[in-house]
Amino acid sequence: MHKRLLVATLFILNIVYFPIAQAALDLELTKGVASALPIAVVPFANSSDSPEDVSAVIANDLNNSGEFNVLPSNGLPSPHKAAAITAKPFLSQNANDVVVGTVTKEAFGKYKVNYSLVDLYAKTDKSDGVLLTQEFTVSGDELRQLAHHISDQVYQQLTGDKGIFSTKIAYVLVENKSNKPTQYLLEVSDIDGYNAKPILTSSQPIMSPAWSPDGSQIAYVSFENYLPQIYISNVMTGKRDLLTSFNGINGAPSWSPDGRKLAVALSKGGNNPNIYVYDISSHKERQITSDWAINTEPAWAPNSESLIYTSDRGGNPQIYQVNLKSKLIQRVSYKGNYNATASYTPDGSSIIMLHRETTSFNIAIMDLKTGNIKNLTKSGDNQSPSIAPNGKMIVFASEHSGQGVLGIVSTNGNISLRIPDQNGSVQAPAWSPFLS
Amino acid sequence: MKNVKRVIKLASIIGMGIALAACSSTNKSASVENGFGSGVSTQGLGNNEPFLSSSYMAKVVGVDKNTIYFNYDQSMIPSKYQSIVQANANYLKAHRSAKIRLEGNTDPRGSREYNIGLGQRRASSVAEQLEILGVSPSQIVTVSYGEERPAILGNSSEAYRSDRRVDLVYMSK
Repeated sequence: MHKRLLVATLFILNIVYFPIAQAALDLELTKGVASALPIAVVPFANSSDSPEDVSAVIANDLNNSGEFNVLPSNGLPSPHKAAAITAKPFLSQNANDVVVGTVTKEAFGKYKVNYSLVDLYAKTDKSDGVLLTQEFTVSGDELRQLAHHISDQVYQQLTGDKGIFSTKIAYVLVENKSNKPTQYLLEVSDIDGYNAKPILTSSQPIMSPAWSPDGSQIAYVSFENYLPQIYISNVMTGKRDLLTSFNGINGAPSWSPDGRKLAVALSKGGNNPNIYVYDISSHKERQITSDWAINTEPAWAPNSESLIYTSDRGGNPQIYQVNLKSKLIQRVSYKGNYNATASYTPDGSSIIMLHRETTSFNIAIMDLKTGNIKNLTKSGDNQSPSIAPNGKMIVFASEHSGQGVLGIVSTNGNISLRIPDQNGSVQAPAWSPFLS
Repeated sequence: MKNVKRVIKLASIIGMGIALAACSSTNKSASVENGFGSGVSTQGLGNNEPFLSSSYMAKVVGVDKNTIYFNYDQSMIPSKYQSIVQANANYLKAHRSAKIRLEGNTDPRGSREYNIGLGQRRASSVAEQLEILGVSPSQIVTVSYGEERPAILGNSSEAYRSDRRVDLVYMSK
């Protein structure tokens, strides 16, 4: 039996008291994929005053994941319960699975949301084919977050991988308004651009946001005192601590997998940055590289034994690996005249990076066994790739009509999305870890 | 549920209080911290940098503009800017209490972090020249903004040329 009945009430603390925000960012699908799983998301029986179109959010999430092809709902029947589904019309549209559900208004501004995921091929006289059935009671401003949660459940059930629809993206928004001084905002939003919230607002540059492995803190560089300093902010409370303020460059913080250390780039008054590992609780740093090149952008190997980083010790920026015990250095990237901003995929088999073959900067993925590099973007000024915690998607900074925008591309290169922002240039995105 | 809400609200208000107190006590800070849970958008405090006017100091030092421009991915000072370095060296040697800030910048292409390194190299190369000409290292501060503060927004090669620079900024004269 596939049937699994779960009744849950969702209390997600961090969304309890957000107002429904205007979407600052809108997702635009720039490239689709034909090989995705066909699925039907039947528009839910909606309470007319529901502030959120839950099934539309789910359909959008699944479609934008690159793993699903959400069929247009017109021309298909609209059942709202698993028992009411007739397989035939859906099968004739090549759907494998169907999501149905209802949103019902309850007392005290609450909404009850039911949904079922049905495998049409498992639906027989003896089985209803139900893979998931869940019920939630939430307030109106939690409906969007709940829709992302349902998307996560459906995604995991059908692909076997954890969904990323409830994760967040931190980024720097630069507001250049003609009659106002430039403002720099460190913001956090949902991955579809909704619920954008500022963590920090400054008249001076903000750089390099990096999530702690548990998603509770963000380390970043702020120039608010006209010099670069590394701070750590608590995402929930906004409370923050100044971490490093060494003479010269304090940059590129990267959390160790256990969350206790940061790999950083420090120049300590010299002419170039070297890589250090800074212990957050003891406030002691250990120098890892010691040469005259630009050494920056450290990123931890999943096993914590080594770092990869960018160095121009060979003449142009390339990716190197340094063992944290022996401090032995190995070159990692050879193809291309500029490789930078590398980080590991969660399984450690590949690295993603900024890659230039001739003139344009692309986001690329490199297989560490074969050394093969695959470009995931096509020409343009791309920067700052950051990988999703399930390893399926990469967010990066790009250019569109003279504005900094965020792009999302799948690591298999099959899907590409753009998140434009009406409020200014968006840069330095960082994908959060799983938050629940 | 209600109680939880109140606790969060309270925590964020306290957080804001600490932030504002910190800003006023240092008088330098130009930022406001803000919890994700607070849902409040705030504006930065002030935008005036505590440095001397660059056009005024250019006049005092005797140059048209106190900026040195660089070639792509280079940190060597082009010879035509040697007179700017010399004029500032002369001024700094004659005014030992004067302090200069060398702000290194790059164009927006490539990695932001690598560009911080490149901007530092440019600032350091001007600092070295000043020191060779007899300026005390204690009169010099270097900082790299990388590509974070472009001189001109945009993607033209002309904008890029103006971005690749070291601004010589006086902290005191």
